[in-house]
Amino acid sequence: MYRVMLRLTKGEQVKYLSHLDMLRAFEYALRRAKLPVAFSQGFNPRQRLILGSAIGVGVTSGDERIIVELSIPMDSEAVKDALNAQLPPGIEIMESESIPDGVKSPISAISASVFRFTLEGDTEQAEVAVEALFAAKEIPISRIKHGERNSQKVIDLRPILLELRSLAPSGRPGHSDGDESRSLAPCGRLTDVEIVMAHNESGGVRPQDFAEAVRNMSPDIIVSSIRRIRQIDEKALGVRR
Amino acid sequence: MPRVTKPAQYTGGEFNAVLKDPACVNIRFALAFPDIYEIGMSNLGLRILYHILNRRSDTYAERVFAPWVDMEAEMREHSLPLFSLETKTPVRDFDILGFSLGYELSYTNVLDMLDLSGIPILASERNDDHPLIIAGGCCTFNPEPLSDFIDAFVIGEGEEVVGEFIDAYLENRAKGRSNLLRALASVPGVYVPSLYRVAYNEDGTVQSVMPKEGVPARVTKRIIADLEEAEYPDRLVMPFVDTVHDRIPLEVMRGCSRGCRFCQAGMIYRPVRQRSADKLMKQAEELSAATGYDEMSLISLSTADYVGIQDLVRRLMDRYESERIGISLPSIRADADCVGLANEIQKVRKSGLTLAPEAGTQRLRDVIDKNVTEEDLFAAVEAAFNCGWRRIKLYFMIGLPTETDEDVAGIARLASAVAGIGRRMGIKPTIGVSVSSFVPKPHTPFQWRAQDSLEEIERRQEILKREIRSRDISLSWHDSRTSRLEAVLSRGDRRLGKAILLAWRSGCKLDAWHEHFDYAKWASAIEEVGLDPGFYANRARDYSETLPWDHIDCGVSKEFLKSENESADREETTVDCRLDKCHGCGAAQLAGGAGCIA
Repeated sequence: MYRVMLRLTKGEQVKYLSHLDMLRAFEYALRRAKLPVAFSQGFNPRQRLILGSAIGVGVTSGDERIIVELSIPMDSEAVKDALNAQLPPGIEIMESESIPDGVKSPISAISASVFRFTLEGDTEQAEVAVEALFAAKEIPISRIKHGERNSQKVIDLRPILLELRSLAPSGRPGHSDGDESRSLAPCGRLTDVEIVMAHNESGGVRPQDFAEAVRNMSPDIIVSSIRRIRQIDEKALGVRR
Repeated sequence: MPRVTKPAQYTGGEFNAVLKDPACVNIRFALAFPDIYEIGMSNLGLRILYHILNRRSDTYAERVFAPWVDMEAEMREHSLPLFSLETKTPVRDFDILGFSLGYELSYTNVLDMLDLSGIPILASERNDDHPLIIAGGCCTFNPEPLSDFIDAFVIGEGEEVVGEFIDAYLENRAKGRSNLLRALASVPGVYVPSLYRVAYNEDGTVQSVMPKEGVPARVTKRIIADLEEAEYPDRLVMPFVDTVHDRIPLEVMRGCSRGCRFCQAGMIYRPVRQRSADKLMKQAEELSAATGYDEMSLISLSTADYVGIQDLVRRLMDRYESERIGISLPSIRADADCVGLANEIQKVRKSGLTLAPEAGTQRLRDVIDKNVTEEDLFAAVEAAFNCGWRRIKLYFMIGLPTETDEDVAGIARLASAVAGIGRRMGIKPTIGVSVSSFVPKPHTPFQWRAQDSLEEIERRQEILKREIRSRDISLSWHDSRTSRLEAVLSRGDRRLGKAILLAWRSGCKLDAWHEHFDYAKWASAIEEVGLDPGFYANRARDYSETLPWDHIDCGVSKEFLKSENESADREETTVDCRLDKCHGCGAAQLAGGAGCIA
């Protein structure tokens, strides 16, 4: 099996897609691109894909990961080009990389993500709220579990917030990461927060929980956008700590 | 946006969506479907028109669907008008807004979408500043109930007439709305209701439908004489979200010659026309490459009747098995051959098999001309169990003309017999019995018949509940009130427009969605405008009565419908004209006599 890891963006146009919608759009693109994708065995063979951490409805991303398994070897750049010609606007492969035989899936090593939140409202109030969250010992967040009579569950967000990387009013230089929505945002009452959040064992991470924590802390602050900037593995985390 | 369900249905941007510069076209055409995205995106007619209109360099067609209730509430709260998916242009800024009408219970959505667009709902209140509001689709074979709201109806198949319509629009748009409408009325197949005056008798029946001077007295539906040469999409917009029909539609045939006497589609889509296997192979090639879908469905009213179906299926399977593209049939006839065919296609996935005997006794099946015998059905079921199916769904109707309690009990008896076959074969079968209520439809042999009253329908449902006791059989039925409203609207006249408007004003919309359907509101709206639902639903019509849709010609003659209706009373069947001889229904004339493949 020949594996190619892809890094994709999820842009403004497609930010309301669910993880499943994104996956389906990607699968159709794979089929249109006529790539030699390996199929699973069984009654209902499916394209062999390894999916990275899921991202929810309403969140954009500059770093989504998918590993495609091919039945014959192919240059990773050619895979990228063929797919980019078939992907809908807003989903684009930025990088592709062949994974050598015997090397563990790089996706399994990923354990955290860097998110950027744009907060709308008084910048000083926003900064105070974020700093207070990182100073807190516990950040209880209530989560509604759908289905079972919409029961509520309280979780502690604090251990998931690994690091506050930056906190500053928007519009300052230094955000050249290909995020097309950035240049459109008005300045003045916007604050950018970059934080690192830990994934759970199955790769899940809910940046919306942080947005809720900010709202709980300071109800006047509106979280106007959430973007995953980068996914990082244990090694990168360790270095920074 | 994050507050609404499935927000991706409102954002557009799908692969294969057509992007044009609106400044570079003469006509902006909003193709609207009066239900939500997941339903509308599954509509083949809409996809065909999107393709044809966008092939014109002077036209840009964009899609518009009804928002779900949560989105509509947000739009109204924030004064956000209804907009197109492609360029997010407010619908009121389009030149033409065309609705596809496939179901009577979506009528209030048409009104709601006009209102959400900021367009006056009544045609009489619109002027040159407003888009022209038009409609097509199978409901337009009785356009009368919507004639207060729609400027022009296009009757029949749209592939050719849509271009003629656009040309006539371009030529006459500068001459003012009333001149434009007159010019459009001269395009064959176009019906402009405001150019006809309807007079009523004292008993409420239609006395006459009088065209204004220079306007055709009858509007004959349009058809594509040669399906082979008809335009068909070579790509499809790929929805991001789940839709009802999310696969490649290969339209193998139009029309049906079976002649079931209750079936409107079986009459209004005549004559029967086939696409050649070669053409279909070519379309399959284009569409699979352009979409990436892993399933194709062979679409028609009765795909098993396609001449050469075995050969076509074999060719498709040979070509696409290695690409892992599956083939599916939308419905199959209740006989062993068809089950064999379905088995060949679905080698592995044996989900459920649906068969439609429609009535519980041979007598009643003869009345409705459903040429399926008990032996056919039992052979089909046995073949299905043999092939590995365990779940079988049986479709029936109650309230059919001449139906007795014995016919109703026959449904239970037939279902038990089917379950018994399974048990004897050592299978634990699951039999789903789905029962709808008969709705008499315009342009069918039963167009003169009465629908049973609500009480009577419910009494018959009770008989079934009592008779079906086996744990292998589960019974489900359509809401009798839904069927009653369908019967009112489908055979209604112009006066119902006021009731539709009032029903919408009192909150009716998304009536096709069980959770939103409110029959009480509808009933009081109809009564409040001085009409009686029973007059439309439960009254048998006399042959001498002028029917509200008599000026719409679907090709099948009234004489043929009458003789079929009388054969029903005599419990006589009419053999499928493709297996027997031409019965002279009249539809062949539409294609110059050469259209029918009988």
